[in-house]
Amino acid sequence: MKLSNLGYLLRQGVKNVWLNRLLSAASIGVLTVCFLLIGTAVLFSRNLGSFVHGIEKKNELVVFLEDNTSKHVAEQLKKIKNIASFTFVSKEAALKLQLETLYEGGDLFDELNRDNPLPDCYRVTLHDVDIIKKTVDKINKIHGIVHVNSPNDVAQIITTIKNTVNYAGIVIVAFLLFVSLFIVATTIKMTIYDRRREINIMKFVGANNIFIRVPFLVEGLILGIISAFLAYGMLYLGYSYMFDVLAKFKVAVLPMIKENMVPFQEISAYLLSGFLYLGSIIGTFGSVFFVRKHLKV
Amino acid sequence: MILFSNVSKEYANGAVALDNVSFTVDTGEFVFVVGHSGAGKSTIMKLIMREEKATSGQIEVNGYDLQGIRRRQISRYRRSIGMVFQDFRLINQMTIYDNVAFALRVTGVVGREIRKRVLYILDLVGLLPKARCFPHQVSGGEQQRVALARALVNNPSIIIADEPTGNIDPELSNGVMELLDEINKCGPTIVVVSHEHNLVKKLNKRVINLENGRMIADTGLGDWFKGEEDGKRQRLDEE
Ligand SMILES: Nc1ncnc2c1ncn2[C@@H]1O[C@H](COP(=O)(O)OP(=O)(O)O)[C@@H](O)[C@H]1O
Ligand SMILES: [Mg+2]
Repeated sequence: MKLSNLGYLLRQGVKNVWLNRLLSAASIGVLTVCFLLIGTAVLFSRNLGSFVHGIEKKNELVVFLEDNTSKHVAEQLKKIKNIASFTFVSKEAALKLQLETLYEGGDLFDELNRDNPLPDCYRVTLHDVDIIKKTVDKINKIHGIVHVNSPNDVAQIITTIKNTVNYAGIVIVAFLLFVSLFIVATTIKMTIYDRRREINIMKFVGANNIFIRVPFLVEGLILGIISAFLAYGMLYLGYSYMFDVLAKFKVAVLPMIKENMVPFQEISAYLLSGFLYLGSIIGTFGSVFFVRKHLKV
Repeated sequence: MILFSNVSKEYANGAVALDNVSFTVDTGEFVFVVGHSGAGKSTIMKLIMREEKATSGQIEVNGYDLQGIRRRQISRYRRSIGMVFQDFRLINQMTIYDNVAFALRVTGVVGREIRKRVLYILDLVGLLPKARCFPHQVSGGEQQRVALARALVNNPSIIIADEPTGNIDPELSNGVMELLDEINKCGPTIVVVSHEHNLVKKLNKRVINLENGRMIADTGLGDWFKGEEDGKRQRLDEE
């Protein structure tokens, strides 16, 4: 295969895409949506994972108390070996903290403090996060404890969400990939139909198999690759936009999300190569596998 | 050389197109194949092109055994044969030059070689001045000469033509046939399916006559013209 031949075959492939632009656009549309869903699922799951990791790393328990039990609890906490330190946060301090994350000014404080619903609490840090469950059990046995907020609980819930999203995502994406495979195949079948006269002429002048097939393969590849880049670009814009929007808000949980959000650059190469890989496979399969019988020499 | 030995062809729908046909065409020969519509003439051409495979019998062309040929060899085999059709089969979106060049390009010829050969062949069929025209801008006779140029450009040792003058004005048919005769003198074997008595008669070549899939005559001129009014241009049938 000489280089100038390859150029000719590539041009033929590009021509096919253009001649069949309506169906080509449909194929690209479906494939792009497919990739967007895959990309969104990947980004979502990666972020939840990073979020879970961030929470687990925090190594901090919050122990909520009944009123006027702080002294007694402090004595008991000292006895637990895995506890490195603890600090008392009064209900007033807790309220102030909450208000600060919600509003710039603190002028609501006095009004709300009259019947402050928040309990007193201790913020407890641990030596060893791995045995956190045992420590939580021990703390729970102390008299006067209302509740222990362990990062493990939150982490577990988020992990469950993450897994559910992953599974649902896999099913939806697999279905869509299947659909897009057929749409690409249909597009190429239409091209073959449009050009059957040309293909027929190619056959009786003794064209190489390569010359008959490669343009359709190129057509499929182009559809896959355009979709991959489109989806990548859209994800990049969408994700960056979300990043910016989150940066402007100041609600309690958001700082936590923001600081654990995976930067797009960290997985961009990953996403793009994944898309291109998938796009090439679908394009190639769509053109070669499903239309082989139409091209028999 | 073309060798048919006890060849029969039955299509998938049960139609028997050829029934035990045997003949040999030597290298450099010029042969007409004649017969009524449905006699099996086109089927012979399809078998030679290996578009169809014989149901039984033996076919050998240019040293290839067409019954046993492997799929990947077929394209190479076809390059040794040039084919011309009644309906020209040109690509309308391509210029005359590109229609001919296309046949070279898809067989892997590149660059300057294409230009050289296409211009040479277009000159040979007398169409060099119209190289940049599109098929619809030239006459039927010229279109058929483009098709002939395309068949010739790969330097085939055999040219087969299925009613090449069937769609051309009578005055222009002569030119195409004469061109085929000229080409034949340069070496290639030529097999032409034709209805046109006058042309067949005028060229005075070997004639293979088919009827309902059987060969009923293989002669120089012989019986085929008996009973036909001399000088009256007439087609055996309209398809
Ligand atoms: N592809 C095909 N499938 C089924 N029958 C066919 C096919 N091609 C030709 N035939 C039949 O075979 C016979 C010979 O056809 P053909 O070789 O085209 O005749 P001719 O060219 O002499 O008119 C006819 O009866 C025709 O109907
Ligand atoms: Mg016919």
